[in-house]
Amino acid sequence: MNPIKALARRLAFLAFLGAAVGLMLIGKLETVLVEEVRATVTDVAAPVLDLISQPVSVFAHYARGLHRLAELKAENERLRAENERLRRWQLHAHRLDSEIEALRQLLRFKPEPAVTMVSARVIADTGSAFVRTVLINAGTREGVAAGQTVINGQGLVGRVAQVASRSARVLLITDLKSKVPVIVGERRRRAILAGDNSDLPRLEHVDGEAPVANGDLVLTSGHGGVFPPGIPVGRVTGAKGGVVRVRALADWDQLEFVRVVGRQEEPFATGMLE
Amino acid sequence: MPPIAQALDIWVRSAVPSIVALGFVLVGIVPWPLPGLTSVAPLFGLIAVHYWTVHRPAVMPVAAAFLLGVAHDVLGGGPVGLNALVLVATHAVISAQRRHLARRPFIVDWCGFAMVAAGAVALAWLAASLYLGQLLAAGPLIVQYLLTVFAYPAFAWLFARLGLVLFGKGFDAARV
Repeated sequence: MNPIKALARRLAFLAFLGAAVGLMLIGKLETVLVEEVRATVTDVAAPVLDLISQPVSVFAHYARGLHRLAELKAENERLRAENERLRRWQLHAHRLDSEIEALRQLLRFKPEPAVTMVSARVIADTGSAFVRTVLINAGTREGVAAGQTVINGQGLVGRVAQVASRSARVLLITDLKSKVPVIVGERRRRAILAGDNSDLPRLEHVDGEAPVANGDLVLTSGHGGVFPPGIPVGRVTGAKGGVVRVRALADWDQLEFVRVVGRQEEPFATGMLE
Repeated sequence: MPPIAQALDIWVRSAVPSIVALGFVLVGIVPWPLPGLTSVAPLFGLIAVHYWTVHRPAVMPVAAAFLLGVAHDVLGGGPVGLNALVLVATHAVISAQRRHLARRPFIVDWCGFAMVAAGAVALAWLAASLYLGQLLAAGPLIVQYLLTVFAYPAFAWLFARLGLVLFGKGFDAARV
């Protein structure tokens, strides 16, 4: 190779290395700008990702279906029994509902603002060792806004971190940046559920002295106004080395459809005005 | 064939490996139903950059490596520039060591890749830890590294077939 070509190659390498480092610095300092660019690109790529993810999800669906065929009878029995049990709970819930309504009227309790729901499909699972997010195929066009809560049939999934016109990025509760105010167990102890990029987020700043028990249910508390209160999040799985971890109710490996929960009014604004 | 058509033909043929690589990067970020795979999916971009830089450097210029990295970063939700940095650095290392890797038995190619990938994953860990301001757990990265290294032969086989189709018998496909 002649020396001029070698020099050109070295310069090209340095230029692209510099560009990569530059991008990282811009990403760190000018978060808003980078997120806007990212949202635009994601929007363009969303249909492609949607297309790729569909055969994968169909294939997975049938593979699971075959697997389950074998256990169909036992499953049916189990579901019948569970249905029976849930019916009893439903009756119970209806009775409690009317009771709560009556008590609220007695107390002139201000009810939680009404919610809107948008269903969306997960089109990219962009989790890595560094970040836990997923991309969904609903955006501003469908009424999704940044900061809204994302749930699935099992429990809390995360919140909308960034939104484009037909896609949105959801920050999972396992991500390093995720902090969710929660209440733990029947004694309703307050705590913060903090993600650390592992599958089991940590409970931090637990209120009170007594230790939380294994299997305690963790619900959102609604403090801070980002997450609505009372959404099931997970169960305490035990303490190791003074760190209490929580297993999320949402199954991260089978996250196919999610629902974005929006509130009709801005929770913070109304809270401040009153 | 008229000269313009010939030039176009060569250009299209050279672009195919990068486009295929981009396709694999996209496949790597769609949700896979296998438990736990999503966060440790093999680094398809790294495999493609390594294979083509060793066996046909003309079709994997540093710009292509950079763009693959940026595409992964922007769509993937991680720090933007992280994968671009890793792939550009990897590209430089492989280019410098190419004479030890090209036209050798496949096992040499594979061992070379195992070493290059170790360096790439270590660099990714270091850069991400600096970026996020805390030491990240290395466990998932080690799993990801192993998956990437063990996925390499299958992709090398696929890319070798692709190379023979695109560039004819003269293509150095590594003796598998």
